[in-house]
Amino acid sequence: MLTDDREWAMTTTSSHEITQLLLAWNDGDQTALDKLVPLVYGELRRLARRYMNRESPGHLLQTTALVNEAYMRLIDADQVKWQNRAHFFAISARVMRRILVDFARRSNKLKRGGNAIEVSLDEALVVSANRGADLVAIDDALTALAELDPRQSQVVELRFFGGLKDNEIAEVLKVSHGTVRRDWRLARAWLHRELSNR
Amino acid sequence: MTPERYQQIGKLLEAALELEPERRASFLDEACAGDPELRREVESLIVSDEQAGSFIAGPALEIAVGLMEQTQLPVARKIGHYRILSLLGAGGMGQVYLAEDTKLDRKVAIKFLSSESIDDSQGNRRLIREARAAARLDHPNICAIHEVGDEDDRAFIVMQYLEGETLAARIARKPMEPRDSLDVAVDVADALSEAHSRGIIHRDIKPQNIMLTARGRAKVMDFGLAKVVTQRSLVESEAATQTLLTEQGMIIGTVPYMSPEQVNGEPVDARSDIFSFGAVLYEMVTGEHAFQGRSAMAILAGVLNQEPKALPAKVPKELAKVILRCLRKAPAERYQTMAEVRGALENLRQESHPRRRSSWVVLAAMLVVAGLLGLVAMQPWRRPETPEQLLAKPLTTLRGVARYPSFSPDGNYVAFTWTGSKQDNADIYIQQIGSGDPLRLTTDPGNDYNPVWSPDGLSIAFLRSQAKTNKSELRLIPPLVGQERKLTEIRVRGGMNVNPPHLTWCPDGTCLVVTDSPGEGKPDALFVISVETGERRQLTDPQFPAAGDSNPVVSPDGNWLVFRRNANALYNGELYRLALGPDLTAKGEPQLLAPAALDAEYPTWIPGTNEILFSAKGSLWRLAVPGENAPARLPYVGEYGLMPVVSRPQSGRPTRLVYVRSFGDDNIWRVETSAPGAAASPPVVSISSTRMEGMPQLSPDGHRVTFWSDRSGDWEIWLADVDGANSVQLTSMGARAAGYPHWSPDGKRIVFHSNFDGQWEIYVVSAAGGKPRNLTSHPASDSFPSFSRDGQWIYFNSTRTGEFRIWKMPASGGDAVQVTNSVGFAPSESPDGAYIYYVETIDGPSALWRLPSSGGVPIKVLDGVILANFVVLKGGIYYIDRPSGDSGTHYFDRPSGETRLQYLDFATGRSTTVARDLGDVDLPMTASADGRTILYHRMDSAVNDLMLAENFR
Repeated sequence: MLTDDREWAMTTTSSHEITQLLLAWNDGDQTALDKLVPLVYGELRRLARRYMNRESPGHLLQTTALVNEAYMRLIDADQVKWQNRAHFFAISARVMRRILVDFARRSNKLKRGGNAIEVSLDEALVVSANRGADLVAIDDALTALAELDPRQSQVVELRFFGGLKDNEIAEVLKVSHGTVRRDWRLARAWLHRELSNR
Repeated sequence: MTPERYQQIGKLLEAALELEPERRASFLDEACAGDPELRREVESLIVSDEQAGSFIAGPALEIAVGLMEQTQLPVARKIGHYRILSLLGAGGMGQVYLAEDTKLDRKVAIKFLSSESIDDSQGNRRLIREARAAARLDHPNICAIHEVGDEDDRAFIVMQYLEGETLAARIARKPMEPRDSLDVAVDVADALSEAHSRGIIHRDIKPQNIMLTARGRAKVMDFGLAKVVTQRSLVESEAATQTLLTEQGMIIGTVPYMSPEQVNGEPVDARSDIFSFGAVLYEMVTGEHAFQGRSAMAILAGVLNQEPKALPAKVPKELAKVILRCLRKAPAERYQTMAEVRGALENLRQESHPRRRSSWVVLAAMLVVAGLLGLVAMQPWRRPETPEQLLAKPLTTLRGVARYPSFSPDGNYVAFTWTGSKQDNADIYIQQIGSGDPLRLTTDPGNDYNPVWSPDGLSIAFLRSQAKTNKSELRLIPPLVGQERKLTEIRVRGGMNVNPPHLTWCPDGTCLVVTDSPGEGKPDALFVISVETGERRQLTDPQFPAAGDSNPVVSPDGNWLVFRRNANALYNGELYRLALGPDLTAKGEPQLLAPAALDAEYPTWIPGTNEILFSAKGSLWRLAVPGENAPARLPYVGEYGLMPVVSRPQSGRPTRLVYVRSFGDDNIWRVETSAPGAAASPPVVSISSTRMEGMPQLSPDGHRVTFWSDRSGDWEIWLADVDGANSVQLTSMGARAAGYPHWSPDGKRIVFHSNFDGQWEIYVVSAAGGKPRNLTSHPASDSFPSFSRDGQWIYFNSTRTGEFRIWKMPASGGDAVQVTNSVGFAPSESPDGAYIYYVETIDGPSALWRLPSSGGVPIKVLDGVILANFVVLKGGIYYIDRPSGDSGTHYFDRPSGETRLQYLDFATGRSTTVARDLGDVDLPMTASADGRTILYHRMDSAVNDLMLAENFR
């Protein structure tokens, strides 16, 4: 059958290189983003393919591990000097947000183009309980939230797009663990309401 | 809303959420007094908080993956009548999925071409046109295209689903012997020659496009697709090639197989395929590319200007000549047609495979030679340093069945299964090496088998199976003193004979790996079971058409699982290896270990090494895991070796090997009577030798018998007179199992089944000799054939729908039609052709069913038929039953009760006993048309000795 060597090559690109690209982008180098996009897409494809191989709903547990692994591959904080760490997390979450929302926007366009193939609700649920969430709408609401409470918006960005854990977010924002949890809960309630009212 | 307002709302929300729900209302009454809008906000957010549930609980990346699945990967979706099951592979050209054809109930592969790989808006239409042309190719060596279509502007091609590996993977595993290369090459040449004769050029012949099926047959894929795929994809694949070159010093991609005219962008014809074919053949015999270079450009330069690297001396000169002629730069200097190439290769192959010659007389004459050649063929598998010549001596010489040896950790005791001095049921025994009688450990009336000593030596795990069920208990017993205990219950759905459950210990002794059923309708899998809690976790996940996994063994370092995956048929399965992560979790997919036709079983780890030992074809073989070499046969274990085990190395003490030497003497017995159903004289031996004879079928005129025998060393089809005189070997398949021969009504042909190709298929051979012709090629198991009375059809049973059903096909081969919707075995038509009779099981006593040949509802005729022993005559039915005693579900579980020959008279509707004490019968019986001569298959004796070899290395 077919093999995709290109994709393989991408996923083995060192996370060191990705780190450099992220930092370059933060310094205003727009071409760095263009180089990052295919790397993230490659990771998405790799994940999607591994999701495919899962047979039973029991494997859902595994998907969390897969996603964590993907973040590790894309954003390896160990590569970054200790002083840079918080800064680096913030940048990578921002980049992931941008790339993933952009990807979602393009997928939606594709779907409106009639490319969607019928899938029953149950099947969709089995694949991911999360799937219904609309990344583009979340992005919009998050931008609105930033106007009202920039820190809450950032907590969501770091956790949801950046894949960070609460203690890492606390480190980035230099606030307490409890503040992160409170911010997250309030922001989530607000975002959920914004999205359900649309 | 202002940030201040949001802060205010947030504070109240936070405070409200801290409170018990019933206290929130009064809190908000007070806090929002005079500001109903504020209260509404907070209340709606409380509701939101409650409803949020899993909202954004998982990371965005996961949602994006879901989107990617929706837009790119149509898994779990239906496209027309195809239900997508899983992704098989993906690449620059698109994705290939495994799917189920819900109409025809078969597996197919569906290839979706990615939109980027089609060069323009016309691309899809062109692709469809090309693929439709290729779909008209109907050839055993071409992967069949079932359908071509498009769904929402995405073109897809529905192809035959092939299990096996690509030639690329095969070459990567180990260089191929010239002999094997020739087999593949002739198949590919055959396919190309057929395509060329229909004006279809492949354009992208490469090892990745050639599948080697589990049956050892080559199938060429992707005809004509290369033409449609854009130049861009090609460029990209070159880029990939270069990337890999720089990163790994490896060459991957299409470049090494392109013809000079393709490189130059000139028009191509069939001769371009001949060049690519030559490059593939070069690689098969050398393991290297014909043109090499450090970059794609360098390779292309080589294709255009350089001669291929000289072929090594081990490649026969004639073969080298053929390869080099295919690889000439100028098309006019190459072979001009694929048919010529095919002819040249076929000649070479004939020389290297004398047994393939067609005259059966030659075949019979060359039998001994072929046997010798079989050994010669094994030579390359042998390790360079010949192991010391060891001598195996009997450790036990017990009557009955003694099997499943397992060493104690100190290597001084062997636990095993034996049917006991009374031969009534199997129990666990322990034999001390070098002294005395075995010690009996279990006494239960169930069948106790597969004892395995725990790594700490304190416990023996074994299975206890109860007759007439598919359930077994996994039990533990201390080897010396103490109570046994039941750890858990397991069951197998594949059938105790098809997929007997087996077990092994985890290296740390905290768990066991054992066969169990993951659920209704699924093949049996291997599970890890905790010794402490009995909790289970599924480890392997076999899919149809496999019957299930058994024979597990874990490497001492816990990094590998080796097991046997049984096909849905008797005596057919292969060994797989599965990489293990921490705590015995599967890492990736299992990979096929031993060559497919080997039918390997009972792997065991050789302690202190990275090698396994296993039994196959009556011999013991060793093989490194993981490793690149082919298995090496142990030279000092001749025929009949089974179930090897090796003791752990102990300082100052030789390592020991124990295995089972197992063989039987089956014979064909005869009962004579004066009229159908009249009391007969006692049975007498009719066709007999020191080896096995069975499965007799009397010719329509009653003078000759076709039967199954291993007199030649392999299980083949034979002919003889009723008393055994004038015997002739009819087939020389070399398989370990050709059997169940049945005559055509005119007595000219004999139909039989064989797993010659590693898979059960139906063959037909002229009763005068000649080359058997293969009639079926479905990946399911096709077996137990018989002719219809008019000679027009062949009935058989097949697992094409997952379970055994009765099917029929035209006697000359061709499309098969399903006859029954329920389980059926061993179909046979009544003398007037009005009914099809069949049994529902061969595992125990079975009802005999009758179905009108023209269709309708099956009716049960009688009960108690054992092992498909029935013959329908004009006035009644002969059958063999066992009125009392247990029926065995296991091969070592020989049923004890008396067997009788019965006759059901249609006129009276009553059964009478014709003969008693038939002995230990096997399948099937036969009777002359006048009902006066009955032949049946009887197992007269069996030897199962445990053999011991000291100084094993």
